[in-house]
Amino acid sequence: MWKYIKKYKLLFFISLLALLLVDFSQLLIPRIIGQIYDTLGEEGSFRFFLISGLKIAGLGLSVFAFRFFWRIFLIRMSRKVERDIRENLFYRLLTFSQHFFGKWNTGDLMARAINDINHIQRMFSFGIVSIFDAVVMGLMTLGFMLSYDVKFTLIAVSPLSLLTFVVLYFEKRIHRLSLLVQNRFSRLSTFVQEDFSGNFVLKSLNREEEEKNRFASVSRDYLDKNVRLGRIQALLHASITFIIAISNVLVIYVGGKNVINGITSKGDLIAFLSYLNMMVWPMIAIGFAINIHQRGRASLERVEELTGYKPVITDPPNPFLPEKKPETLSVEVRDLTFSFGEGAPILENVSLSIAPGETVGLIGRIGSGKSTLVKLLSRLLKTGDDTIFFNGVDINRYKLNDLRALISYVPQEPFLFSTTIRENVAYYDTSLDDEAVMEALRKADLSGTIEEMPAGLDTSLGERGVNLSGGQKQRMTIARAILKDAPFFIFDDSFSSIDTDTEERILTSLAPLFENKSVLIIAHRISTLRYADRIVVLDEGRIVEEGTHQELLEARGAYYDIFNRQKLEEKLGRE
Amino acid sequence: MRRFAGSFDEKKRKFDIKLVFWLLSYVKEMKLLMGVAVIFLLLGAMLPIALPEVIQRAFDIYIPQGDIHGLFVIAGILLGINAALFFIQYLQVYIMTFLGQRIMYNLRLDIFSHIMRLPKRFFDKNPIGRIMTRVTSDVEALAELLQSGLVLIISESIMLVGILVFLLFKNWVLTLVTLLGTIPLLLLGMTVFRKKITVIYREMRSLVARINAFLQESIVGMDIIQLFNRQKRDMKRFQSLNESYYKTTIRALIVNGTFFPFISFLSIFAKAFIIWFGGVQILKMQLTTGQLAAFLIFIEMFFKPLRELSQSYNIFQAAMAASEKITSIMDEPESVVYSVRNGFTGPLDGTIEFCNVWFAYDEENWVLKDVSFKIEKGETVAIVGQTGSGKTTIINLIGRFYDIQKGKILVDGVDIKEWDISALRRKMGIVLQDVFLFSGNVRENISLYNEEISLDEIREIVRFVNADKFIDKLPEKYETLIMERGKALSVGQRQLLSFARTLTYRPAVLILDEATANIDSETEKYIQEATLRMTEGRTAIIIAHRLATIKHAHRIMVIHRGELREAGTHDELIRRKGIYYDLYQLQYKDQESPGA
Ligand SMILES: Nc1ncnc2c1ncn2[C@@H]1O[C@H](COP(=O)(O)OP(=O)(O)OP(=O)(O)O)[C@@H](O)[C@H]1O
Ligand SMILES: Nc1ncnc2c1ncn2[C@@H]1O[C@H](COP(=O)(O)OP(=O)(O)OP(=O)(O)O)[C@@H](O)[C@H]1O
Ligand SMILES: [Mg+2]
Ligand SMILES: [Mg+2]
Repeated sequence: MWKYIKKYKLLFFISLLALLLVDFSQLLIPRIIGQIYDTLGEEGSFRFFLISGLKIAGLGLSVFAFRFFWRIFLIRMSRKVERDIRENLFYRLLTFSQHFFGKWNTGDLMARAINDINHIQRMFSFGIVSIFDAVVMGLMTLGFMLSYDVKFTLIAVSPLSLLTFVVLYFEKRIHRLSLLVQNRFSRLSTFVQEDFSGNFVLKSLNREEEEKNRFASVSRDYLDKNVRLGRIQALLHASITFIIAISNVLVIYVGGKNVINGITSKGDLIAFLSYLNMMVWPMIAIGFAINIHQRGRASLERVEELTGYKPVITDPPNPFLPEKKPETLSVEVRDLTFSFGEGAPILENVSLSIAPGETVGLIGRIGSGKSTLVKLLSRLLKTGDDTIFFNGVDINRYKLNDLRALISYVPQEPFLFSTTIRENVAYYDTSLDDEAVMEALRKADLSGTIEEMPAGLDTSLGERGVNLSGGQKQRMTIARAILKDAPFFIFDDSFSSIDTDTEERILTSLAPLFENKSVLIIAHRISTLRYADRIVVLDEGRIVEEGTHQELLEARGAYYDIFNRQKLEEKLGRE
Repeated sequence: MRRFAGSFDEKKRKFDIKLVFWLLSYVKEMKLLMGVAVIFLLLGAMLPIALPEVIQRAFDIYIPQGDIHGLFVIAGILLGINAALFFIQYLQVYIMTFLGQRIMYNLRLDIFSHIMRLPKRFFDKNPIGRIMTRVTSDVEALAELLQSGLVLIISESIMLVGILVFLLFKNWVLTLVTLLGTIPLLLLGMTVFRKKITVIYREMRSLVARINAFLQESIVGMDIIQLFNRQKRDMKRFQSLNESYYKTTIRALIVNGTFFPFISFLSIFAKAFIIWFGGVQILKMQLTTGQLAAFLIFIEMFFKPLRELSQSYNIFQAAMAASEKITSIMDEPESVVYSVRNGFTGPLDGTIEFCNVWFAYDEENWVLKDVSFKIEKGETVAIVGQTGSGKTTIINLIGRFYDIQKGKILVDGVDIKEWDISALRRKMGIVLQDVFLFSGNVRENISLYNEEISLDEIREIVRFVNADKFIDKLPEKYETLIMERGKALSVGQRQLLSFARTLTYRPAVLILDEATANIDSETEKYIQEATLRMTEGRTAIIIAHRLATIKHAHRIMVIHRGELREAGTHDELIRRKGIYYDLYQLQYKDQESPGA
């Protein structure tokens, strides 16, 4: 915990001081009132009452001021800590790769970033206050009690020792239950995220009622865990109050006996009891403290699970720093084998090279590893050393930003952000002017469509570009890659939703751009591969064929089969 | 389904009462438990008052008499009362938690099912992250009010009134004087406080929603952010959102930080005031010291519930801000499709007819212009056309995800607006262009959690679409978790699964929107054969850019810029030498002379 507070030591200590002063002022008030009683029997004067009243009002003002101060300082500190943790969390997320995001649910991450951090913030504010109150007030009262009567104090404190066990017992349980509650909240969040994202699909499958029922069971689970936590909290508070009560009864009984036996005076006993009464609040504060603290700790653990996660893909310690951004790029893959975790290899002994100015086509059955290969090339997935080289240098030796600056990548699934078309297309370099943006759009055969839109480039897209057609989305991502204009272009099945006519226009308009670029085009349609200088056929993670279209046809292998099938189908279609 | 009545306006606050009523409608269901909780709370507050009485007896009677046995009895009674208190307190907190959680549960369910029934248009326009907030954080923000605030407000108010009456009996002059000295200040404080804090809380809720939306999108699009080296810029954007949130919380802090100490200051101020005023009265012999001392204790009893109430007042304001957000989404009208009463329930036969249909997503940007066609039962029709020409839109209309502006759509001769929506969609199998899978396992994604569909049936369908090959290779076969949106699968594999999912429900009308776009031609061939068998005697609509995909279609419709330009069999269209002919030539030519 301290590591988060460290930065705000000053705020922290000032607020503790203010808290101390609040407690102190509050202790003084009964004293002054006591003074009034003491002097009342004698000569009460007009002036005396006025002064006492003013004194109390003054103390009231200082309580007001110090309360204000501790709140302002401590809660400000906790809010700063909250801000830092959330910021750090996002910062960390930005460094994680698909190895991480492949395993985590968006809703879960969101829950941690909002809900868990809220609990942490409470721990750093009210959690600290409760602990402080419990300790300071408890010790002060204990001091009073001890200075008053040691024996009574021992009697009074003996049941309080039970408290230790109570604390230990409850701490563990509240912690565990808090983890459960937070975990169920994550599930709830994940569920909602998923169902709202897939809302259209769910509607088309007529599943509104069933999803409601499933949601009910998810929230029911959350409710159950919360109620269990609530029950244990209720038990904690009730137990603490009861322990103080036992101590009270004990003192009355033993003290009463002492009074009867003439050991103590009645007045002393009454006074002592009133001190014991002051113990109530610190004890209750312990209950609060345990509660807030354990919830906060559980949440902190959950957040630190993320912030402590070591990113798999990082900048190398001694990166290769190219003198200037290379104009061209030769790509070489050497004997690359890859698998997800322990699973069977997705790619096996893949070797491939793309020279500047060359366009290589990649074709292969679904799940044959094409996208995986491309993700490895761009280091979205981790590859071993000495497997992939850009301009002769192992890609693991590049800084990530340098490496990615070399690649214009059109992913298989078109992903757009919910902002304007302009921002989406000029995503890499926002400083580009409209002309450049329109030029890229023209190359992607979208300029006509955009011009027809009333707001033109300022048209706002929905999330993932929902208000575009499938082909428009895909072309938007192509335009985005064109504007990035890196030496290496990757098209991962990027023409799948585009008609042949449009596809031809786009590829033709890109031909001049590709003159000295290395290009990798993945496709299922042979017609898309017609611009490739060389075609590679991937099957179950292995390269089974490689050559020009003509060579491959002559080889009468896998490619020939694909070609024939597509051609045959066309012919069939004609009949 | 409870709906928040009346138009909702973000800027006006006079709807507070309505918000309260809306919340109370949820509380009403729980009124019994609520009553029990209040009683327990009052009991828990009253019982301790009895304690001093009992202790008094020990000091006044048994100790002076030296009656140890009597003292023991007193100790026993004290212990008994405390034990009772233990149970009361335990039950009270427990019931309050249960109550609050239960109400939140009901609320969540209502919000969720309401959102699920909002039209597609709503989801087109609003970020998922923001919509999520309404079900997650915003409801969570009500927790404090529902769990303890509400019961507290009720019981503390009762106590406040009780004590006030008691004080008036004791000494009405002092009471009135104290009240006159403090209440106006209190009211003033509360009014100023409310004015400031509501604005801030509202802003906080909006910011949480915006942070959520930003997070959602960033996480989902993380690979794009990284590939385009956008980390720094996005970090900045997040920082600025986070910073605004921080600043808003600090503003709330300053308001709160002034208000609460102000209330405790008032209670001390009242004491000071009484000492001065009472002292004067003592000097005038109108009051005894004992009375003054007692009154000082009572005045403390008066301020305790007042302090609690002022805390609750804050909780209440925070909850109102959240309720405001929630009710504003509850006010969004549900999709009209659900309001069809006694709709036509089919069974769906499969004739689909468009009569002069005009449609635009926004206002006047016609996406479909005067489209008319009729698809007979059992017919397989292909729709082709350039990207963005309106093919998917036609599908969206057949499933009634949007309503048309002009014209008529008839399904089985019945206006689509008169169909019972679930009867219509249940038998309509749509494979959407944008594949969406859920994070469960393979089996669940095909059966969609329907227990009635056996694994054998699933196997059969999977074999049907040729997905068995890859599923059998997955580490845990049908039980393999495919993660969010199916990201542990290749895109083509996902498409196959979504295909299988649609077939599972044996639709009467099969609609395929680019269902094989990301699938290799070998696999596609199998699927085509399967579809052919599937569609026998059923209506099928197939959209595809690869003309090979539509080779089995009986009829082809060519959509161009939202208009139906050509329709007929393949041969007819080829002979016509129109748009279709051009498309065909282009694809065919490529097959013949690649590497151009
Ligand atoms: N995150 C992942 N975890 C585990 N397995 C994965 C993951 N991503 C992909 N796979 C598996 O790796 C294999 C190759 O997937 P990849 O996406 O590279 O195929 P692809 O050739 O691009 O196919 P498609 O043509 O369908 O896009 C598939 O069998 C898939 O199930
Ligand atoms: N939800 C929406 N909101 C607003 N406009 C939309 C929406 N969906 C599609 N459009 C617009 O309507 C037009 C037709 O889109 P549609 O999706 O029907 O095209 P399509 O023929 O299916 O194209 P593709 O072959 O690319 O999938 C496009 O210009 C698109 O931008
Ligand atoms: Mg792929
Ligand atoms: Mg479409």
